Amino acid sequence: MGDRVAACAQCWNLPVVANRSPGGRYRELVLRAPELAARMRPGQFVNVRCAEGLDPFLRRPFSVYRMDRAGGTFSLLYDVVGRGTGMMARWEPGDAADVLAPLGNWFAVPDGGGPLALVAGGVGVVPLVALAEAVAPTGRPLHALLGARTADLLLGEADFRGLGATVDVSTDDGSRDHHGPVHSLLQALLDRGDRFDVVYACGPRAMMAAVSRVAEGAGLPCFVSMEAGMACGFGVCMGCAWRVRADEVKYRLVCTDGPIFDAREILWDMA
Amino acid sequence: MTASGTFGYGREMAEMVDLNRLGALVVKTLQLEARPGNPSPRICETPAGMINSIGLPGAGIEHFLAEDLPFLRRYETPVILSVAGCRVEEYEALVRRADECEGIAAIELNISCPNVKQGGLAFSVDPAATAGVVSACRAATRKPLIAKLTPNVTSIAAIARAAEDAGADAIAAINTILAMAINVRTRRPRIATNVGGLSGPAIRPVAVRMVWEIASAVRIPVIGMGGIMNAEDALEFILAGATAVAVGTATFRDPAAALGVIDGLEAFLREQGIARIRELVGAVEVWR
Ligand SMILES: Cc1cc2nc3c(=O)[nH]c(=O)nc-3n(C[C@H](O)[C@H](O)[C@H](O)COP(=O)(O)OP(=O)(O)OC[C@H]3O[C@@H](n4cnc5c(N)ncnc54)[C@H](O)[C@@H]3O)c2cc1C
Ligand SMILES: Cc1cc2nc3c(=O)[nH]c(=O)nc-3n(C[C@H](O)[C@H](O)[C@H](O)COP(=O)(O)O)c2cc1C
Repeated sequence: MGDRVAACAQCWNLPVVANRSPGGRYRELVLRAPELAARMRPGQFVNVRCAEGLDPFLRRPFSVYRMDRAGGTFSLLYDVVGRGTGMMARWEPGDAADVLAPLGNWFAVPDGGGPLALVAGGVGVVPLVALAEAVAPTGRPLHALLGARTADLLLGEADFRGLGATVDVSTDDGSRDHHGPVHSLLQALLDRGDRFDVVYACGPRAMMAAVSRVAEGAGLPCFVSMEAGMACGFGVCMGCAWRVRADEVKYRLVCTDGPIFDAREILWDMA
Repeated sequence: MTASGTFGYGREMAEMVDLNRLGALVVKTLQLEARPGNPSPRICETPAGMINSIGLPGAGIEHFLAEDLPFLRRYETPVILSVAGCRVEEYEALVRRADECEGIAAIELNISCPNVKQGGLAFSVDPAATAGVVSACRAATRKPLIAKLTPNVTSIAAIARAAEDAGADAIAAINTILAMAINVRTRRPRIATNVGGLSGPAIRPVAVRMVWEIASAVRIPVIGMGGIMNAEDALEFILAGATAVAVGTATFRDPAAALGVIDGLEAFLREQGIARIRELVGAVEVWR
């Protein structure tokens, strides 16, 4: 089980460089960490201690968003949904963040030059932007499919365009572009003849399940970034188990076996 | 020491924590056969703590002995095996197997895990059942035997005494406290098994009280645990009568929490001019 990954994790005390809002409830937290910026891979996550005291008690996991190797920083993009993220939103440059990193595995990118589909739902864009950032310099075509409930909740469009990716948008309410869930956008692209080597997806569980079904139907490999409540992030509490497809009951840990999984492995209708 | 189930099999922690600095390393509870564990969600956060119902997943004792123990033997830290079963014969078989192995300093009987459906609970809620499993294991090994007790009983002192009389060399306490949390919007319990075990600072005052009751009732050493985050927390247990302490849930927040406790205890002794920590064991000055 993931010693390969957990092997290099440690607690870092990282200076906050910026903590700005790209819009809506979202915040981008930029942290100075030259070593981590050089070492972390797209898809990996960090576990942030939000409180000085005991509330909230556990760390909060966040995928890595942008990595600036030259500038020696990396960032997180988070939705302010509760107590922990509410505390983080108040951090300012000059503060320091207690961050356990790097954690988890990372996206595998198979050899070849064919286009990659990056399918994101809401804040699920985060690890996919990191992936695009890593792949863009190779010149491989990237096609981002961004889904949101409404146009104003869209996230990451500028990132993908800046990285040279083709971007298509779908909204549940039809306020922009493709009207419908993002998996139906993927299906529409495939139907019109678009070809991809791999589909990568991150977002709400139902969305990833739907995307992986479309990918499976088209015979495409699909990798997903999973979420589960976790206490430690390094494989010892065994709280973040996800049931996988197997003849017998079998679980894998999101923190050290994941968070990136081959979608064919996941039993979607299980918690 | 580390608390079972919060430090894996040591190997997961080796790059983050200097294992040689630990007083002892207690591994995640092992069973005879491999087990998948409970369905998700397995954990939820609660005020100053968490509820878990992990269900003792693991690859079984033979896998541990072949794959993990050799790794741990590269360190000087004593390794304590934690074992659990559904029947007395299973405990006995586990203990007999561990008894043959070098590199195992002691065996902890997890007769207190509240999670496995037909599992441990039955043993440590009843003095006679506790005595039964401890005496069977006593006959199966000459290694030190630790009985780890559940707090989910009316009189933990009576259980501790039963374990002592049946030949236990030490008592470990406490395991998690049975608990429940409900999501009011979905009306669902927050963990899949509905109820689970509460741990973390939220349980510390209960744990200190129970350790004090146990230490007052038995002559064998008591290993205290339950919500220890720092040296001051550990000192409460020591003053209540614990000769050793274990750090559990705190490790999830800070992987090196156990080392922080050790450093803090050393600093406290220096500051107070106390030569040996033994002087503090059971030194609580109770009101009369
Ligand atoms: C591997 C991994 C990567 C993640 N990456 C990101 C990321 O890049 N950006 C980001 O914004 N979030 C990410 N998350 C989710 C993030 O960890 C949670 O949103 C965060 O823990 C909420 O903390 P809080 O204290 O603010 O909320 P709490 O006070 O704990 O909860 C507030 C509300 O948010 C809900 N909530 C809590 N945790 C989650 C969750 N994991 N998923 C959905 N809803 C939740 C609760 O049910 C509750 O209604 C990731 C999670 C994992 C496991
Ligand atoms: C996630 C988790 C898993 C645990 N697994 C075990 C276990 O396998 N065996 C055991 O004897 N105790 C287990 N425990 C109980 C702890 O060892 C300890 O007795 C209890 O959590 C109280 O200490 P703490 O508050 O410091 O965690 C577990 C606790 C937690 C939180």
